[in-house]
Amino acid sequence: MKCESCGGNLSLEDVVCPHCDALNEHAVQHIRDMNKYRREFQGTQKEVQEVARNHSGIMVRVVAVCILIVLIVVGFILNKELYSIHGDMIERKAIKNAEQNMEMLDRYIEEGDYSAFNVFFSYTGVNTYSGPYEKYNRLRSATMHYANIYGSIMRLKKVDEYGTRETILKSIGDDMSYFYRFFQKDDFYYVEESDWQYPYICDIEDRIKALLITYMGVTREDVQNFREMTNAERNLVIEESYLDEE
Amino acid sequence: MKNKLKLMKQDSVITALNVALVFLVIVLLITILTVRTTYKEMTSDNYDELSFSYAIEDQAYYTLLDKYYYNLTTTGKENPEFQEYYGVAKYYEAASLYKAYDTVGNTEKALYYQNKMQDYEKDMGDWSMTKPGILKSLGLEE
Repeated sequence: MKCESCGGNLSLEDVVCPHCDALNEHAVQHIRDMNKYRREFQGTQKEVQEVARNHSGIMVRVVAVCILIVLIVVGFILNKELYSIHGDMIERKAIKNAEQNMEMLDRYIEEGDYSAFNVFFSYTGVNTYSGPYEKYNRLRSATMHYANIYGSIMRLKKVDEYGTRETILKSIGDDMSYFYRFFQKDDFYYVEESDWQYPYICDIEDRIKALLITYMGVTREDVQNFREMTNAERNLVIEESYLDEE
Repeated sequence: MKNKLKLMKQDSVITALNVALVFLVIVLLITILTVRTTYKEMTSDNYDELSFSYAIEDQAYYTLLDKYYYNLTTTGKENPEFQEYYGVAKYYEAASLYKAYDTVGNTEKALYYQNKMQDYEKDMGDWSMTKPGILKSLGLEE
């Protein structure tokens, strides 16, 4: 490039001519342009950086939303399955401590604490058709029906608050029907006289009979024939005896 | 210009995501609280003192038994703090069975439960005041 004033050689960086000190308009314009481009570049760079930053922000938020959704779904499932998980844990614990628990259960049976025996199985939910507690398969069911019958008989005293008389009588009838399956030869639940559980089931039967005679007004003659009666006959006897006594 | 438009779009997406995040955090907190409550309900298996005292006040003595055995099964031991309530529960059961066996003439068992009544009466402590009510409810007035 030549100086317009003296014709000397100039570079684009020379703002004034090194030969005649004249102002180099091209260099001034060049600096102005460079500043403008630098500003534009910085503006664009800033915008690009902001876009990139926002993009990362969006990604982080999307990931957070996904994690939260997963956690909420897990929470819902957990809440729904908590009882089942807890039940499984209790059952596993009961199986793990079977030996110790069975000592306790045998003591309950010997002492006639059938309610306690029943609560153990109700709470733990352990299977009595297989596994360590299999030997109690009939007693577990017998004590459950006994506990229901005992509770129902006692509940009849508070009939206004804890259910109608009809529903309680029906409940007693249902449990009696289930209970007497232990003595029906053609029934799945039939208990042989040789079975170790048989004497205890008879003891529970005697207790149920005593409770029915005492608190429901059933006669001794009637209870003696309970095993031979049909479910309907038995239930009718109980219901009529109770209503008569009332 | 293109970047500016993009930035504006991104801002609205971020705002929407922020709202979604706040909403989800609230839902998550509610879920956690629900799970916590369920877990607490589930693991606080024992019937508390209030439950026993209500049952006694209500003269629903038979319900004490279930509560007593339930607590016994879940904890594996008798809670000494509940000793008196347990005494009432066991006394009621023994008394009801005593009356039943006595009525049918099974003297051996009647005597067994009569002795049990005496044992449990000692455990009733302050709640021994419920004894007349229990006996009356069973038709066993002294």
